[in-house]
Amino acid sequence: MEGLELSGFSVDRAGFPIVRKVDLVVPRGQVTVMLGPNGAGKTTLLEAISGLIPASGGTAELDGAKINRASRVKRSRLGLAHVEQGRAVFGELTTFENVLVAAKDRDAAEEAFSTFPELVQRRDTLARSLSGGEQQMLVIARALAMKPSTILVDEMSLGLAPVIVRRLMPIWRRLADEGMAVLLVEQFAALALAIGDEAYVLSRGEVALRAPAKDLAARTEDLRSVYLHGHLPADSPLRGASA
Amino acid sequence: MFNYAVSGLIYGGAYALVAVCLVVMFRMVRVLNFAQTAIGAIGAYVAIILSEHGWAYLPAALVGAAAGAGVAVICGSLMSAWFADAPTERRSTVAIAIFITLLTLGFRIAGSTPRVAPELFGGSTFRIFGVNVTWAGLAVVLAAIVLAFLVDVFLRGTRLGIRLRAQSERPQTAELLGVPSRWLAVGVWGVTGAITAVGLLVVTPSRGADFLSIGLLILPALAAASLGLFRSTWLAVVGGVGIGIITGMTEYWPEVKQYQDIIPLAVIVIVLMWTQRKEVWDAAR
Ligand SMILES: Nc1ncnc2c1ncn2[C@@H]1O[C@H](COP(=O)(O)OP(=O)(O)O)[C@@H](O)[C@H]1O
Ligand SMILES: [Mg+2]
Repeated sequence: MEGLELSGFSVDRAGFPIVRKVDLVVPRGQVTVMLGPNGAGKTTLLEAISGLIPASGGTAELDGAKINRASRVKRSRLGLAHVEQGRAVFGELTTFENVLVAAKDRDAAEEAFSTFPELVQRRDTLARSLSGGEQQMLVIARALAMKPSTILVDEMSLGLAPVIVRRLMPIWRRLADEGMAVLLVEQFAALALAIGDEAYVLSRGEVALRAPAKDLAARTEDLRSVYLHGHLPADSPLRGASA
Repeated sequence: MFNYAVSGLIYGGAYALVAVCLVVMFRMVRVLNFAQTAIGAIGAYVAIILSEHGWAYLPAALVGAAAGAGVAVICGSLMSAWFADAPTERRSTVAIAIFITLLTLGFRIAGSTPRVAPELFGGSTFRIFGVNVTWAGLAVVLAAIVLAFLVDVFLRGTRLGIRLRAQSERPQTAELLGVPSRWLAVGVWGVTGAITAVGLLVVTPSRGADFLSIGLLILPALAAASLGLFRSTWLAVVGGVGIGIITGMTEYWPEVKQYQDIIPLAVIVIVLMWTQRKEVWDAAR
């Protein structure tokens, strides 16, 4: 399959199972949304996909090739990008240098950079003195400079003003329409579901629900139940679609 | 006395070279590398033995530099394999262990008898303003200045340099972006290992050519690098040359000379007190 596919994927942390037997497909051309309450294991899952921490079981395939044992650098060369939680800019580098780190050449850097006109005038500013929104744009531009085919995005909207989140969300839709596989991890659902194709809900390390994003967007009260209890209410029409 | 001060240039240049290496290691590889001169001493020693076997200076020095690089790469690979994600404190502690191991091993193998070390440019000198300057002293000070300059240009102006700075700040994030952080770090170990070997080789004829005393030159180098708190290559050069000149001057007074080795420690303490003073002031604001 083109894109990312996990089967029976498990991750331990400090000896505890945090992600358990997750099956997940992130096809090219789609925005796959992953929701879940704080502590559900979303970040842990992404970190194991990109190789920051090892998986303890199952397989991860990128464009049909198994990547479980590949190094972080190798995974990135295979087309995987990971926008980490918490805006991991290189603070002592300038805005443009941050992008240069990831780009194959200057042209790729300029191109990714021009996605965000807001950043152009901050080009030579140290990344640590950018605002939160600018830093988020920077880490996105930096990931795009790699020209990835699959991208993992961890809680982009955390701590950002709603106006900025609304500015950034459509970017994922556009990139998916251009053929990228996007896995968008969010805690707050509405804006992500609005641009998403398929949605998963992770609860205590397990996929508690899988449904088309627009169906889930129409029934946010059911979503709340999954967050609170780890399962859908008995009378939910989404039950049939549940994983 | 001026003559003595100038005679210290050769120490100063060598300390400065090693100190710049320490700064680069600290900034780019996140380790306070106590083992720097123990590694370099192996390279310098290889060069000394080759020259005892009749090798000319340049080829002996090149092979010595390669040996220094080789030992450094081995140490760097071990660090990358086992302590890649560890904080600087832990990695520096490992460096102390490497320092002691190499020094002990080297001492066992090389023994304590001083070797006859070759002199760069045959120890030839020139006179300027009535002072004798060794060509070697001048060359090594210039080399240290050029190195500090190149390090700055490289880190600011090249893509590889930018990637090095990125991985020094967030090695894992850099890896996610395709930067081979571990290989870059091992490369920095290798290059600084080679430069340190050469720096130590140049200074050995004047400072005693047994393995232990070469390895212990970590003390003045640490003191020199501490002048810029292991951040500034330029202050490391100033520190190195300064300590060298003061060391040279102590030769003038025999009664002071016996305390020569305390100078680096005094410099460290003064620098720490000075910077702490500033911090207290900052906190009080
Ligand atoms: N470094 C760590 N060591 C041990 N446990 C961790 C670590 N990081 C996270 N956890 C635990 O893993 C669980 C999932 O965390 P995380 O993946 O960050 O969740 P989410 O991103 O969904 O909020 C939490 O219970 C958290 O306490
Ligand atoms: Mg998280």
